[in-house]
Amino acid sequence: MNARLPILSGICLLAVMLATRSSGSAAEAARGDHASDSLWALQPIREPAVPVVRTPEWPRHEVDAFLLASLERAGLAPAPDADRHTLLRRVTFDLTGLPPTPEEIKAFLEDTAADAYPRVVDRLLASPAFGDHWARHWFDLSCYADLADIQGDVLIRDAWRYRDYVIASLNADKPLDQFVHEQIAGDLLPSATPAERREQIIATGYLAIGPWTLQNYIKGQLDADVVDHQIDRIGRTFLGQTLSCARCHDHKFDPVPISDYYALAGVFHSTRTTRYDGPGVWSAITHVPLPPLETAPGELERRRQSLEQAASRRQALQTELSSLIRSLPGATNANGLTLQQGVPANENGRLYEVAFAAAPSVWANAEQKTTAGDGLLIDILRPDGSVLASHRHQPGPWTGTNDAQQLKASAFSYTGDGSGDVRLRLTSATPASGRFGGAIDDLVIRAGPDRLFSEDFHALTPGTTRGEQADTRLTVFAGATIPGWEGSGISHSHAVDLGGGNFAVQFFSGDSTTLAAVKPAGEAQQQALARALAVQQELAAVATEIARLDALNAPELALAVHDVDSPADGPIYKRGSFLTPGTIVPRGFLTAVPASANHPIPAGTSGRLQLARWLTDPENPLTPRVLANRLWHHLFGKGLVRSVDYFGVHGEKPSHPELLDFLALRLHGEDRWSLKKSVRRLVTTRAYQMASTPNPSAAAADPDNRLLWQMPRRRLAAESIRDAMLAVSGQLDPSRGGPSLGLELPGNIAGAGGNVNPATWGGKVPESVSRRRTIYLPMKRERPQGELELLSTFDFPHPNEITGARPETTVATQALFLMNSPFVKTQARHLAERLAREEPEDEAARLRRLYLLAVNRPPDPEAAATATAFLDECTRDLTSASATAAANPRAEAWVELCHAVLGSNAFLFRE
Amino acid sequence: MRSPVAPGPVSRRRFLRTSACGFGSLALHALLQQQGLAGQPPPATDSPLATRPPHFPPRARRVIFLFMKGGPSHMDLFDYKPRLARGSGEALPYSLPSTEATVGLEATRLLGPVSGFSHHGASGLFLSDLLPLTGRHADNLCLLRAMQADSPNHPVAIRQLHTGNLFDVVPSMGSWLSYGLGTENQQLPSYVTILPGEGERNFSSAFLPAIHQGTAIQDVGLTPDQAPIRNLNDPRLPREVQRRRLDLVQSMNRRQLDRLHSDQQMEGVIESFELAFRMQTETPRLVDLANESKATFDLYGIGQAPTDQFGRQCLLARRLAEAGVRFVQVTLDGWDHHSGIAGGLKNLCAQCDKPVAGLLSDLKSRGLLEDTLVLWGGEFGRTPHAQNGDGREHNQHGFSMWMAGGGVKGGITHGTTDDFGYHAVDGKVHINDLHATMLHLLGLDHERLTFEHHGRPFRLTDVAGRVVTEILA
Repeated sequence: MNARLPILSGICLLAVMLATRSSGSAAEAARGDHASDSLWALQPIREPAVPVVRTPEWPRHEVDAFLLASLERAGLAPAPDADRHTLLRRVTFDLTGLPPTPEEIKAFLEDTAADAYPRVVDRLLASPAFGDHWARHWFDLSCYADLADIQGDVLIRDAWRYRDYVIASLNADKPLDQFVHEQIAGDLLPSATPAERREQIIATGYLAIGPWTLQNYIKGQLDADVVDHQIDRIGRTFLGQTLSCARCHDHKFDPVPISDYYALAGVFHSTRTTRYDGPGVWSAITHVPLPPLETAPGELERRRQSLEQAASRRQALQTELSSLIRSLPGATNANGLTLQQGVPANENGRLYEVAFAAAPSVWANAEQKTTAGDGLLIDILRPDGSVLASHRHQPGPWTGTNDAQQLKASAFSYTGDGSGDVRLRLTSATPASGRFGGAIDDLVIRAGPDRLFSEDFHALTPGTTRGEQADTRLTVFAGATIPGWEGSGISHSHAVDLGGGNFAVQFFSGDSTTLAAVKPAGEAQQQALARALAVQQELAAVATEIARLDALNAPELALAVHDVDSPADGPIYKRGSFLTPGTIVPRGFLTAVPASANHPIPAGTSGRLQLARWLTDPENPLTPRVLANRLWHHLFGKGLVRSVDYFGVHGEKPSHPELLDFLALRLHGEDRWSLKKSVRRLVTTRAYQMASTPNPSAAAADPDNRLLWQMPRRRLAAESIRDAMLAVSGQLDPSRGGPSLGLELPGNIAGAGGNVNPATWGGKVPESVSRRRTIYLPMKRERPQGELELLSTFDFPHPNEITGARPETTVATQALFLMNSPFVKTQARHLAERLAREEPEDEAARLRRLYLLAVNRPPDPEAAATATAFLDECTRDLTSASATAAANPRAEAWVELCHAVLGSNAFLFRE
Repeated sequence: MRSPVAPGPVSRRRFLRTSACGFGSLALHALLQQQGLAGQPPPATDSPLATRPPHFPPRARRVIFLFMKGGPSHMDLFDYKPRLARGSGEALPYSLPSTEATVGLEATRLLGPVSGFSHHGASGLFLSDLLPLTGRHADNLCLLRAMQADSPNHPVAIRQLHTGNLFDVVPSMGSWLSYGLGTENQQLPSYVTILPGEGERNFSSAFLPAIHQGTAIQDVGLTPDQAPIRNLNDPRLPREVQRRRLDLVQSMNRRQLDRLHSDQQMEGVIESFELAFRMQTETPRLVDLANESKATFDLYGIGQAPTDQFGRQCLLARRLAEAGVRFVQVTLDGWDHHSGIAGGLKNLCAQCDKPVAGLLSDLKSRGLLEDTLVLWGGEFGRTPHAQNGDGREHNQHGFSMWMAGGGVKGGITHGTTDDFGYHAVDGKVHINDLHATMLHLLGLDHERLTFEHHGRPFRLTDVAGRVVTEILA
């Protein structure tokens, strides 16, 4: 293989191929030099004149006039108005992702007031289900998932906070410009309350959560890839531009020079998204602690006191257990290190000082932090082994995600009793908890200025087995020996290499099995053992209580970004490789967009806030056009520009350019970036209320329905199919929000606690959320599988992809799913049971209710007859000898009927 | 020799049509037309799986990929190194890369081959004694001894082997072949992966139309109740009731369609239900090995302890390939020998050797080997130095794979590693080159097989890839 490019998505180089190989593209590429002059999307937005139409009675709204004018120019007419059943089903699915209930249908049919429909729209916009549904549109663009890393299932248990933030923001109709500012630069905005501050920090999860290759062992590449994805995401989502193409070279078609890309890259390189603490290959997404919310008066103090009491009880128990264990032969082996030679440091009545350095020492784990149990015990022993003085040293707290542990100096004093030399014994203060105790170094005993004993542990002999301790950059030697010290415990303790020939000794706290192995000799030992076992039990209970209190007090964390310490401009990476940095370019935004000069980046900041403001600057024509088009896409099935994520030279031109500008201006002007107002504007048009009536001549003239001569029929989105099945069967759990991973399930965390790999989620959807709407289910970084296979079967986007417009495929696996999957079968059974409950007597009424629930209109006579005939035939099949005779064939036939309806196009599509 | 030119479009079925996103498919068609790709683009009414002509006459028409998951040790199986054998137990004469993890390598020493080697066939290929039956096909094997990949991490390297790309969500090689050539059997998926073991990310069609996704066979007759394909059947419901329910769905859908005059997507749904019902009938029959002879079972080692499962996988691969599936993958996991490699390798080879040899014999006797490309290998190889005393660490710098059949020279080795088998030295074949060569053998130019996605063309080999012309027959 010849010289290979470093690992990068160099596919944009292929764009060169496209340009040079295909004559059509080459011509366009040649024009690309002046693309900004001609690219329609970059032209300033001007208020268009509302066209005059020949049938002025049709438009209900200016939007209708634009559409009708185009139809009239093409000699076409709009479809008639949809009937009320169809309209209510359409608007309810489009706004909430759920079907209307029979009660809602009845109310709408009976409401003859002129404003009945707008009031339905307002009801739907006010429903929390609006946020549940529209948040998913946002997540299609922002690569949301509950797990990190594109390969593994690495836990990022706090992702849900960002999910809930998005839903709450949409339901509160937070102006979209504020919504954007918070997600890109929330941490840089001012805040008035802790609640607001929390929200702003959580919002930056937009940038922090993504398909990062956290296990990329080349960290410079990881950083460059994260930045590239952030640029790509913002480029497509707001600007409709494929900025990533300019990672390696000037964009081949669009007016994006490579310097623009690295101007933006400087902003994101000045932002911390992932961190690597080593060793091993894994990085982690940045976590930011959230400011605590106010609690009830006195609550914090009460918690503090309970914790203190529990902690002191634990310490007393541990000290007692320590001394009990040391009196039991065979119980201490794992934990001790005792100086063999005596030290003449025991003159009667003389004050001695013992100084040392110590640190907490915790392995990588799902919960890495020290607790009160991580102390070290330093005993001064008389020649007979009794304890002259004892010091329990508790190293400071360490949350385990930050720096290498620091050895901090500490000291204590004791008074000699003159009973002979002393020896030193080092052990963990918590001999039975199973945790590490800590590391100790540079131990000295002084009498006044005289140094009587010192041990810096430099002379130890590292053992053969070496490993790396996660998050501390310490090399750990198992089986190290230290001349002069008893070696019994050293194979279980560790020597840790602090670098530069400096070592420390690290103590395990051992585990309770050492007690079980004790063979007590004599009454005293038997009593000691019994007491030790009892103490151990009580310790376990206290530990549980402390864990509970700790959890209450635990700092809440959000996946969030923050500025690096020294934000700075960055270099162009030649050919996209971080290994070949070139000229430094000042941070900034797209030069082709006029508003770019309005937002200079102050020194000392990343520039994210300026980026966010630039995106929503009224002079930036891209963002309102792109966002207005996205809303259109979600409500009318296809965008006015169908290439919703790409407004560049090779994208599609708008079918109704004036209408797009009209809507873009309303979005940030009259509607002040209100999503709900904009949605309301669109769904109250007459065009939105058209039927999906066939029209062969219109279909011949405009087969793609670009002019919108009818309302396009659409298959429900994957999550709506699932949610609607649950809603119809009566199984939908209305609860909302909160964590989704179900870590309490056995087997739902794997790989935790090693020194190489982070914890991973086992993949089981917890029962507590399994019947909730799809938005609240845990999302992996792959096409949903297993319990959630419905989603990927029906084109749910891959969470690593930016998918403004989902594909709509029709494949046999969907039919197999609808025919045979346990999910559909189960919901059909629930639905049949629900119907039997709600309409126990009258089968005709039951059939009517089935249709109203599932397809939102009553069955016509032919459909009713077909269904009844099916029930009869099916009952006969199920009763006949050849079949495995069902206990209640009629009830089973109803299950089959429900199953058929849930698998029919009438259920799967909305007109 | 069969006709090297694939037949023209064979199907007008619409049931499998995907309408992708309008922009993407339009762009695709535009691209196909602009670049004169794939002869004539299929008419809009054709199935996306209709057989499509290749760019040039192919040497193979289908691929069977025997994926040896975990990274088989090439020094112990295919790449005998006398210097390594002599130096076993010595300190390392080379340094370890600073960017790679070193757990378990603290006191590492060279570890000589853990198996004996012998010459096989007229070509005299020098192979491990752990693969005696594979050795009988030595004269068909094209041994690639200087393979290279870019990552020593399993999931990343596995992804690269399958998709060419380390990190992005891009289509798998089987999906590319399905997209480029369609399938020769409209009743079956064009890309099947047998007992893949884990997530779909490695047989994903990514941005290619969903129809090109690999279909996982999840059972090869080991558990009687499990359907071989997800949701393939409903074992508890009487068949006439299933059919009756399907008829009701179809009549509801047809009535609706009549009202609408014409709707391609809804017609597609109706046809997809019919296909699904046929698959429900026919796939179990294809997957059911019961009608194979005792001799065939013996050939593959089916019914014998170590080889039963992998033997079934290999036999099923042959049946699917014969039935017209374009790309069949068979996975054998367990090659990740970080310790105890001598015993571990012996066990794995005992599972692998007979079924693979059986597959090659069977393909040969049916005349299928000449236009079937068989590929054997893992995501990387292993280090010449010991890990944990008696195992080996991952090694992506140089390792071995072999090909056989469709269009490759048999009985040859291509490429060499250094004296220890650590780094590829000559005749290097990067994963991208492997992919380029595979496409070439199937009649596709890896630089012309592209798909427009997010405004730019993608291909299996990214911006790299060289056809290894030295090994072409």
